[in-house]
Amino acid sequence: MGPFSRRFDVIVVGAGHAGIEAALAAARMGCDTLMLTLNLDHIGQMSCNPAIGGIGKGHLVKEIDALGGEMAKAIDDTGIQFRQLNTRKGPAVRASRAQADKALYRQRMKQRLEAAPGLTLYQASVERLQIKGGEVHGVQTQMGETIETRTVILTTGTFLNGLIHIGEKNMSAGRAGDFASTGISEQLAELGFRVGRLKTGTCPRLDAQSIDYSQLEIQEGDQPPIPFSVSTPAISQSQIPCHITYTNSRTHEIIRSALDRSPLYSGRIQGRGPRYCPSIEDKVVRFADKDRHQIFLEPEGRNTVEVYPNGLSTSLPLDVQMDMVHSIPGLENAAIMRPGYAIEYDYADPTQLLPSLETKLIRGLYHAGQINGTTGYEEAAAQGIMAGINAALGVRGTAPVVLNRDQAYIGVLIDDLVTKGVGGEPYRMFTSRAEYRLLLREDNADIRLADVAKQAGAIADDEYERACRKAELVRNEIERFEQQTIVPSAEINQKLRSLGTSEISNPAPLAQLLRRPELSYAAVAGLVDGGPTLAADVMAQVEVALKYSGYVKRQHDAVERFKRLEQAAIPLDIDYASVVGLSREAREKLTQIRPLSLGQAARVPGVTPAALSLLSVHLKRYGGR
Amino acid sequence: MYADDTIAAIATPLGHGGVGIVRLSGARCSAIADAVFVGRRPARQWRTHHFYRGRVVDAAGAAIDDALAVLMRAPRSYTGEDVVELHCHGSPVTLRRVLARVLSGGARAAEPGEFTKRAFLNGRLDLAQAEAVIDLVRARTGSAAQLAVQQLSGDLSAHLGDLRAQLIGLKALLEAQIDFSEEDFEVAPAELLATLDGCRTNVEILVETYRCGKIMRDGVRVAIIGKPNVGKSSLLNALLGEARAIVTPIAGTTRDTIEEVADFDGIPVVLTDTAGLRQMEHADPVERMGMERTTGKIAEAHLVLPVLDASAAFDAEDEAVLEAARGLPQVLVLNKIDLAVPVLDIEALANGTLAVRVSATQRIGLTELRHAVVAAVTGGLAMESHGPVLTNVRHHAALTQAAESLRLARESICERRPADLVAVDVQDAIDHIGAVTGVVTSEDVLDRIFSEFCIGK
Repeated sequence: MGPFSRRFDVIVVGAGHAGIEAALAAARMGCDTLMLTLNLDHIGQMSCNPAIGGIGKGHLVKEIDALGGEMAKAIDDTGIQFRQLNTRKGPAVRASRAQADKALYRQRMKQRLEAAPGLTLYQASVERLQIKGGEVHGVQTQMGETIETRTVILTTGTFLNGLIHIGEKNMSAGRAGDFASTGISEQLAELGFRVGRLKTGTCPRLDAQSIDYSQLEIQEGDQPPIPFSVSTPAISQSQIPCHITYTNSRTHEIIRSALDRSPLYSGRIQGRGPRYCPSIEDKVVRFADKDRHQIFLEPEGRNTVEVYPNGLSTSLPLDVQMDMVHSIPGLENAAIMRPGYAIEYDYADPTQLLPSLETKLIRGLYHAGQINGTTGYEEAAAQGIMAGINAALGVRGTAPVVLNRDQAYIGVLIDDLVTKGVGGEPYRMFTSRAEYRLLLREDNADIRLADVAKQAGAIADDEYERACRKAELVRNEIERFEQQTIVPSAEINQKLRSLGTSEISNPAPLAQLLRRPELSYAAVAGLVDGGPTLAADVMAQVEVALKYSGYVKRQHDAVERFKRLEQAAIPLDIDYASVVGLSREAREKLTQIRPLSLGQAARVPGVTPAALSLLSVHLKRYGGR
Repeated sequence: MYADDTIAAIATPLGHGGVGIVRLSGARCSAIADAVFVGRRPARQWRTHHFYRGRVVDAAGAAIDDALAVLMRAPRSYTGEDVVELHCHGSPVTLRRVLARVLSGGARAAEPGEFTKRAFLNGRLDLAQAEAVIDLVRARTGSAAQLAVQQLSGDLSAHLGDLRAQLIGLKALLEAQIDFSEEDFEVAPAELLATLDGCRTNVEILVETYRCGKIMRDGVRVAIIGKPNVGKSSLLNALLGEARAIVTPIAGTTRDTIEEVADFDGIPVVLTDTAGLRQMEHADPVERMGMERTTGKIAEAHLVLPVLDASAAFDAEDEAVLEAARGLPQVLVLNKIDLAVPVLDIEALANGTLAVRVSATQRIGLTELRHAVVAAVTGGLAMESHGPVLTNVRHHAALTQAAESLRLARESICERRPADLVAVDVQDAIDHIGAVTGVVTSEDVLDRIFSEFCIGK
């Protein structure tokens, strides 16, 4: 007997960042949705750093927002410091990042879930999935309850066989303070999923009252803070600064002398950690010539003294953690409130997923988040919302939404996961993973995804119209800049000189001035009546469209070059054994990955251009039969 | 199923020769060889890359030919599959019978280019190498063949692979600055420019080699023009007589214009003799048609040889000939210098272009003429190169684009444009270079290439 008499459309297992977006998306799209979590007080927990966004990740958050997701709105409401990163690295890679008040963020998410129509919350530990005829039918909890459903989305994070390491000690846990979950990963392995092991880690938390900030570099938030969500008019709450300090040779000496007690180096940890988010002991070993490493002191919230020393992720024994912390300027007397630790957990090979995030082995079963080998709240949430949307579409019997690589970072993320897998280390988003980066900017995320989101029913009409209005604003402003000319006068030329650019002797269109490398949109708009009055993201789009039109065109050309490959569909039931001439390796890889297009096939490791041409010829001749 | 799909074709030109080869490729090679070839040992037991003597027999066991057979086992063969070659006597009739026997034994007739296609598909050749095979088969001079062999050996591929790797390294630096900007990672523009400029110079040098490479591979068209009876045909024959090319007359020539290929210092030169040019008002309708064709040949030619008669007075018709050639690349030829003391001031008439005195019948001045033609078409470029030479229009187009992308990248770095924009151009360059060897493929390229292959190669 179960606690519910009805059969759900969607059950989401887990209430982390992936689970939240999955459950909200499915409920928004009209599905009777149940969210199961081990602990209702830990919904939306930030297990690691207290921040949302960053380079590549900010882009994901904006796209989640464009698809009707919650992450951007939640951080806008609960952020304590907002910054734009990479402002000098170019229009495509500018990125938003915000420090979060962790407790507020959790609370806000929980309230939002509780208030969502069509969404039920229930605290339970799922022990097994119920599978019949290759299709998921329900879940069974640790208490022996069974709950029926049409689809299940697994967003179990680091909880599958989680094992925490601190120095020579280890314990089974999903994260510090939570139980691990063991049943599901055993069952996944039985069902034929390739279950692997990954590792990640986190920093010790320090007591702000014991930190001497007086000598440290201050890092303030931007003024004014720019919100993440298109639906947030402005950030009204005050901001809190972060501080920067550095490790030194003494810190490194302490770490080196304790390496034999590090579970990373003593061989106790099997899983591989991310190279780009290394523990401090990793950094000291791998970058031995660097005499210092940067540490950001990030407050975990307004109403707590806990501080996250970003850059000090470690699994060294507690006494070493203390010595190490105390060797750092400003932290001489810092008290550790929670030790840092490493955690190993199971993940399921994401190449066993379709681009919809449905598993190839079990119909109706979707995987999203760290279970797919990714790291990061944003990466998790991005998969969560797509799994939620696609489970809802699946319940309706409609084709899933698959975003292309020239359409969204989410498209890049999922295509990478299902085509290449994670290659043994947790997958994190970088802007360099997106080959059409100049087209995938934070400022145009809502416009890029409006049609897809609307068509899937993931956003409401008014949200769609807002994106359309913004697109129109951009178009109009580009037109104005091309048509309106500026007439030379003593006053104008004086202004131009003061902007560090040459004078004009003939009337010049605004667009022509904007193409000068030294002039920004705001500077040019400021030359005429009214000045810049548009929102920052509209201005950014006008600037990119006019100033960098050559580059944008080249990226569009590149998209076109490969478009025919991307659009050449491969039927899911193609028999690769019938494709004449394919090498054994290519055939095995293709059979395993089952790419949906020639473009995706081209990205499968081990598929050569030659194999691709055979496949192409075969598709033309037989249409994939 | 592919495993059963074994192809066969006659691999040597269909003519009478000492040896003619029927080649098979595919998993069933040795089984088919066992059925059609009777020797001391069955093919299954043959050592790879060893010749065996025996007889090719028909279904009834009667001998078709005495032959040598060799089995090259996968993957150490041209196609990367099992390959059997039957070296027979070079008679077209025999070879056709042997092929028919092989086909009845279970092989399928190879499509044009299919052997090379399989070599490419099995990873034995990259795209640039596969294309070199076409060129090699079609080479009309020793130098052209030499270039094709060089490309086939992977010289160009290796060079491009190296350039591409350098640019990928450069891109990684740019990306690190973007994705790890929070971690104090900066690269000096000078460091980026050093790599960029090195690659750019290399790409530009390669692009430049195409001018020679194209001439070497495709040859140049040279039209001999002049009024009737100045000795155009004798000149053509004299030039051919000394340097007749490997290939016999080109198909499709008309009675009025005759084309032949000669080898001028390694350059394939397609010589065209044209109908005599005379003033239109004096010409009858048949002559007019001939002259229109001549005008067409002049337009097609890379170089014209206006011929004047040293033994006759310079007249209005000669004037018309020089007029037709005006402004075109040319070498002015004064023929029949053995018949009279030339009165024409040919240098003045040449007006700055090259001029040569010859006697076609007495074979005087022909070497000078050939040198002059070579100098005119190469524009003084050295035809010998120490590195890889581009001969393929597709490669030239791709690398021209790569060079342009690198130029844009350089401009962006110098103007201090943001790293994400610089990266766009560097990536374009990487893609264009990769397209040559097929590391980067867009869909239409492959079919087009393989449609050009001839059978059996």
